[in-house]
Amino acid sequence: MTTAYDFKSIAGEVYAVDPLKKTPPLAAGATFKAPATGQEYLVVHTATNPVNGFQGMAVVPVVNGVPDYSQMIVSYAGTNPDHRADLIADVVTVVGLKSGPGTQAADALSFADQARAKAAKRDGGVPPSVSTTGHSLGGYLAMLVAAERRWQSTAFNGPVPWEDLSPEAKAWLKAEVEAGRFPLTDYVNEYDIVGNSVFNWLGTIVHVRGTPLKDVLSYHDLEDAFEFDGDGAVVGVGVPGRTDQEILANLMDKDAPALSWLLVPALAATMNALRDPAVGSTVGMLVSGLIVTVDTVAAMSMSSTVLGAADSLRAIKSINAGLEEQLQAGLTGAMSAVNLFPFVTERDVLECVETHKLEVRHNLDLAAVAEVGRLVDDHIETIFRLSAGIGQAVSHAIAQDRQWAQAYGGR
Amino acid sequence: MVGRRYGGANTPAATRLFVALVIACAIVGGQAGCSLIGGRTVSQDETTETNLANQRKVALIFWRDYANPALTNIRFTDEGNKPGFGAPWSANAVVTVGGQGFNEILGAEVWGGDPLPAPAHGSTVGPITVTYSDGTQELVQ
Repeated sequence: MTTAYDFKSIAGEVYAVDPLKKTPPLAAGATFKAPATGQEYLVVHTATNPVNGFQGMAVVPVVNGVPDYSQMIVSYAGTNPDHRADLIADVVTVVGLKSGPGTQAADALSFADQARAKAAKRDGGVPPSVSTTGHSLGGYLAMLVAAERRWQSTAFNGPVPWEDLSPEAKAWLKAEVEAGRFPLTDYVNEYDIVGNSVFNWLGTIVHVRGTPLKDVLSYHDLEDAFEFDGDGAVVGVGVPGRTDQEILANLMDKDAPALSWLLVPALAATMNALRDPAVGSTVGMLVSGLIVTVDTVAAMSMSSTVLGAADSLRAIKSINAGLEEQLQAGLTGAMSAVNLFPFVTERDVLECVETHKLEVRHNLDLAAVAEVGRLVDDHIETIFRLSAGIGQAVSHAIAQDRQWAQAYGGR
Repeated sequence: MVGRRYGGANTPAATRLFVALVIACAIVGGQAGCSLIGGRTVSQDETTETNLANQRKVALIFWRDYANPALTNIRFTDEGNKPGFGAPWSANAVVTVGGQGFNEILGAEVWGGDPLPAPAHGSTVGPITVTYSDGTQELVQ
């Protein structure tokens, strides 16, 4: 029996078929072993599409040294951030809900059919039973293909592809679930923003317990997001899942709780920008829309960082503003302490302070402090102007994108 | 089956926007080699130092797991990387078994590539030389 751990290992290995990342890449004829069960797998088919970033791998188990072509697992790779094509595919395939020719979804279906035919040819024409797996975008593709072909799928942190499924696939899936069967299983870490970004149609998602306050990527990372028991089953399944707010708050509280007030509005602003029909509808349809989105997020992040500097400057000003008070408090404290000695009179203390010019007015250049305060104010104003400028640039970019979209008739 | 539930806090319209946001964040990461979430950069690319440490780690795992005394060398042919967003780290290497070279991709949990000669039952590890991607060598025994 193929365990969840085996599926996760196969979902991880498919990334190695990318010739731009591995030299040489994993190819047909290669073998690997799943660590949980020690099961050996033979790679029987791979495919890559440099245009849209697609990568697929089909494997069969090796039993007693002989490939068993009666059962096959088809695996799909997720996003490779180094490939611009892959990023566009993420937007087109997942956000844009597109599965037409030229998309990764179309390639995934075609790849599975080819792999199945190849295995059947090697097994006297008998087609194998097929299951699919994948991580992230690969998980999305794995579930889509499984539903369309009526197979089983075990995915990890993948957005559920319900809205991309054909009416027939939806009907089949619904009937299966109503019959108490769940052909699609999507293990999603409760704090993963990618797997949790899409509605949990038909209870496909099995939420997995996560450890709070870890790096954002660790919740999505195939190696870090899941733990397995000795039987190869996922540990911590069955938690109820988190709301978007809880997920975002966990990410914000990790490293920058003090900046949460700054980052949450920045992210909210980005989401609001995407809610603008001019932007939202172009995402996934036009590259310009994609670039605007990228720039929006980048600009908002930059704006957050810049505003963070203002926070530090405010802290300097706050300390400076309290200098006189702090020095006076120190002097008063010292004078009180000296008064504890029975042979020292209050007059002695005042004379000493006067003689040695210990008063605050002698030791604090208030004009200099005021000048620092003025400079800090100046800098804060500059920062806000810069931040506002970034916001304006984003607005212009969105407006420009709207014009391009209309000019090209893309929407 | 455990953990199944219908619906959730998200609505389809809002979640599409949320996906866009998430992927846009990933895209920023892709363009800059890092992502900006949580107020700091989170690098996808490891440093050379980390990659070399990972090479040593996976070399030792492979050496112990494969446990073939005919294995004499592991030579890393690249520094190693995470070949996808959230993908496991791995590196290309040529391993020498019985004088013959095999192209393998070595990861912390899974290693695979050219089919390797099966070690004899009960065989134990032997000394090997590991050549890292920066040209340094280490004798492991």
